[in-house]
Amino acid sequence: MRACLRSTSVEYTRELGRVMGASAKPGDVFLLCGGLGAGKTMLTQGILWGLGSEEFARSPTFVLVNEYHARLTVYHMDLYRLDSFDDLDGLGLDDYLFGDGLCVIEWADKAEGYFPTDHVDVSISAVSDTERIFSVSSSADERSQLIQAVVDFGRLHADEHR
Amino acid sequence: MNPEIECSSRQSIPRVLYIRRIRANREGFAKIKVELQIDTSTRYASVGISSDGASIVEIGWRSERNHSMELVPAINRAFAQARRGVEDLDSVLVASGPGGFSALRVGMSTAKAIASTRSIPLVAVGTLDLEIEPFEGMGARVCALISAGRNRLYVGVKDPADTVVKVDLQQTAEFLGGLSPSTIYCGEAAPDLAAEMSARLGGSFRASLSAPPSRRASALARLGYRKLQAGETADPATVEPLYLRSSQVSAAARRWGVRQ
Repeated sequence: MRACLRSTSVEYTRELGRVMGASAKPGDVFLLCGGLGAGKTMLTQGILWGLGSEEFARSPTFVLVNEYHARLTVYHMDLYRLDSFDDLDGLGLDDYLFGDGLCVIEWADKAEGYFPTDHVDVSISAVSDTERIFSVSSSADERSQLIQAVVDFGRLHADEHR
Repeated sequence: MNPEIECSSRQSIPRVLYIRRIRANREGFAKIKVELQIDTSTRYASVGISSDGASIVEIGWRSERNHSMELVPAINRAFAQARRGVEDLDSVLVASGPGGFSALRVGMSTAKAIASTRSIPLVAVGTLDLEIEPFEGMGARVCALISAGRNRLYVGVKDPADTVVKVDLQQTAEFLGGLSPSTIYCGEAAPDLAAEMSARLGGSFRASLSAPPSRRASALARLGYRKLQAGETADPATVEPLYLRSSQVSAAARRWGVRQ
């Protein structure tokens, strides 16, 4: 199942994240793919707020993993700096990926195939300076509720803009 | 050497016992060996002190990813209760996994540190072997289960004729598809799967369903001491915990290897 949305503002991206955070379940894994400045951390900010956190998401590029405590424990990771399989494997991500929290992983495309098969893919492409296309998808039936929530959010806002 | 003088500086050991041990050594009797057990494979952790493979003290607790803070204080409590100190140790016996990534690392690195600084043997025993130990000799296939997180299980199988436990990482659904009424199921995750196993095997199944902790430091003492006697020690410089990888991750590893 897949949802496609067009964001024209940071606020919209955060609201999308908020919807995803509100629908997240224990053990969910969100894989975020998109270039530098695409809005991955901004989306994560919304996800945190959707889970009831009031914290501001910081980029985990240098620390690899940031942990936030909200309705679910959020593990915000960034694989940007990893450049070998051993580096990745030595992190012990299994404790997070198969735990009861929510994993939000930036630059996940660097480790394709490493993650649980029921993950949610979020790909972000920059169309212009202010415009982004979000594609949210999952091959797992258990995630269809979350994708549906994103689809509904997209419809609601499409109506507003009309 | 005057045992009385030496004794006064070592207050953790009762004087009489200590003198007796020194005399025993002097007179050429075999020294009583002391082993330390460490098992931090899962959130149910334990440490123990044993003598010639028989448990003296066992301390178990439930840890929520706090093994690194809790392990050394627990070892010190076990030493205090057994009236022994780290200087009395003759070997370290450690559970080597499978289990939690960080959890295993804490126990393994602590065990390595003690073994290498004291220059005493280190023995690694599989965690699923420890789950199976109480059911050995029952003449049936024994299958031990430990959760590997969402929908996954570490599965250890031992037939009566086997000398080693076969270890595997399986999806829970895959495991439940291959149940057998003649197998004895045990391990930390067995109680959680009882309803499902019962439904699939029509109510007649053999399993140990007592609540965790299901692994005992005494089992590690017994199996570890047996390996020690057989000379099956591990090199503290190189031994690693047993991490099992799903076939999917192995495939990713291969792809990644190609990309480099």
